[in-house]
Amino acid sequence: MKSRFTQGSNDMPNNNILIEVKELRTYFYLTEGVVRAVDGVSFSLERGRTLGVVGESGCGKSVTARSIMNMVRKPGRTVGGEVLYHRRNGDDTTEEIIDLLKLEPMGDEMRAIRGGEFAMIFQEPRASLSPVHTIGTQIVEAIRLHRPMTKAQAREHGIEMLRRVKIPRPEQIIDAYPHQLSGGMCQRAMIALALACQPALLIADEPTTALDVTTEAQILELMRELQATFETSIMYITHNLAVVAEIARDVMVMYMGKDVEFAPVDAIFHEPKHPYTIALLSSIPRIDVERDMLATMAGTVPDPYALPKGCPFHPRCPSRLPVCSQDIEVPYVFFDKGHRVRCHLYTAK
Amino acid sequence: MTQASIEASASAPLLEVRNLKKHFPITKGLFSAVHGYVKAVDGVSFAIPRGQVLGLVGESGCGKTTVGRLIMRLYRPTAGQILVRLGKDNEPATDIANLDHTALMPYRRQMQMIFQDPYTSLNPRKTILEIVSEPLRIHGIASGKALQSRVEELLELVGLRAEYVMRYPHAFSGGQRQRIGIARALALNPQFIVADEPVSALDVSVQAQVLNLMRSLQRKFGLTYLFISHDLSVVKHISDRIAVMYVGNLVETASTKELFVRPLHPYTEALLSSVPKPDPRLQRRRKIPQGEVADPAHPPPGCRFHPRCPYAQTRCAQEEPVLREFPGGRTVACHYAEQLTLTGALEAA
Repeated sequence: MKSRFTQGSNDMPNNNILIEVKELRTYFYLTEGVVRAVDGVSFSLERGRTLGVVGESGCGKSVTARSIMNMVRKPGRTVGGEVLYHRRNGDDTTEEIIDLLKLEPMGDEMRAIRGGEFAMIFQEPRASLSPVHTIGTQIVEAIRLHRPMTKAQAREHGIEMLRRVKIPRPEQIIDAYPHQLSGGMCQRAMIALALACQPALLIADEPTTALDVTTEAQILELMRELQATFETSIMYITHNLAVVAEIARDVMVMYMGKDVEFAPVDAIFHEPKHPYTIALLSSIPRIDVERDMLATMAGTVPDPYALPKGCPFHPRCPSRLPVCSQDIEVPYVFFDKGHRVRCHLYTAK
Repeated sequence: MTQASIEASASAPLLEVRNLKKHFPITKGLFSAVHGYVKAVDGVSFAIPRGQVLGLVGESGCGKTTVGRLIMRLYRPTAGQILVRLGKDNEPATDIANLDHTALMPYRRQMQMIFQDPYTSLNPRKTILEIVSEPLRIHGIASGKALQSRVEELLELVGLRAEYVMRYPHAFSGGQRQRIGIARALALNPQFIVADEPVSALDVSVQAQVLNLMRSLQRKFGLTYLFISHDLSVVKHISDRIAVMYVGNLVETASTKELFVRPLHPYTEALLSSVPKPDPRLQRRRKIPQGEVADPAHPPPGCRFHPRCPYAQTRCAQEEPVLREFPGGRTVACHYAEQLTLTGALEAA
């Protein structure tokens, strides 16, 4: 059964799905109350494509990623939904569907998927690499955990990966410690480490946010090239809409734990439908357009312990209707090309 | 910049720095023997006319923050002049580069700073009243009831409610904290403000609010800003003129429009090209500089950008280019600025 949350034409079954997330809910149980960090998010990610996930701090984009990796830590817990992984065998002939949330988070099967089939890179490359081990030790360990290779073979493969991410003198750099490399070089090493086992999915959580713009441009270009080579699906999480425009094919916009809009990248930037997406786009200072004052959103991001009833954006929304503040789930409204939005403005039409 | 260009500008500048230098010693061993210098700022000259905003951009480690701190005299310059003209235009300027603490006091009152991180620049153990009133008390401007009403007035000026005066910083969001920082900077009715990455730690929608606030305050009080940022789209939005720094030196200064339409220095072109643009339809004609920012302790000979410059010639590795004047009050430090036709980020209107 094809769900409405998959892209592609409606008559053809879409066999290219890698991950299907259905009504994911991840809550944090704190003494101050329950934070519904991810509260009913559905989307799918195709093989070899890049999905950009955008939103402001606290919207739940990183928690969505961690939930897919089945690595939400206490006091957080995934309380509902499915994360279906369409796993193919080596020669792509058969496919099995696994609900990752049913696997034991620290069990053998989940650990084989994490690192072996799914990889993740983070904002602070230096904080994600061990400071007391060389780059080589860390790459060799990761490869040998998931692939049957000798140390020498894994080291050879590691050097090859460092070369692929365009680290100069990889034969020497493999024996360097992270503190000997610049931030950009560390992020390249981190990407080499993540891609060493040729994962089907790469989750990149703000990978260029801590980097300078020229380095950011280099890393984005590198990621595009590597995706073409390895056919990895990328879930790219960022607060920066411009970065999404450069790298993503589909975009999901999140606000307070909800997937408020999902569309191909061109539609997000040229036919945005959700008032939050529209407000976000008009509030960014642009290098290529002249603006006097920036448009601003009214109000502030609500308190996560006391979310407004109904649509979480309604107190700040310039187009709100009476129905928006009623305590009902905002329905999805579907448009063509997989564009969908959760907003009452479109339900009447 | 040369003497001539400074005097060419219509009114006398409020602030002018000439050949400003700051070399930090690198020490080693038990007796802290100096065995080198990090030339963080190495001969920077520029002027800011009264009531204008100069944006200072560059990548991390280029020395832009050090320039801001030197002007505020948080550091003592290794060499150079910091000329401040706080009275009328025809009055002589004062060089504050070597003044002692007592002699600096009247200048400090007129020159204030806004910091990057609103979470560390406000003392968590003081109330908003204490934080915002501190400059008023230090300079003996107000006390008692008058002090409190001045603080309330300042809070309202930056868009906060006056009844917040007795709260502590933890009760405020990042954007609100940055407003408190702005209120503190405005407390003494300064003429000049150094804003060091004031919106870099904020979310997009909040960033727009704070930028608009800074801009309307600048217009309302005729303030003069030195606006330091790594983000070209933010700097473009608020600045009248922009100065681009690379490894301790200025490489180009121009009016904002001219710089974005037609950069004259290859590093400016590289920076503009690296900024991601929030439109997926824009062609990616990228000219991303290869390699990494030079080490300011061991800068390359000749032009500091030459190892990364796509247009570099042999001369660039041998001879350091000086900042030369160009029509329209622009300055550029490149041997080949006349010959090169570089690409900007904006179409010429």
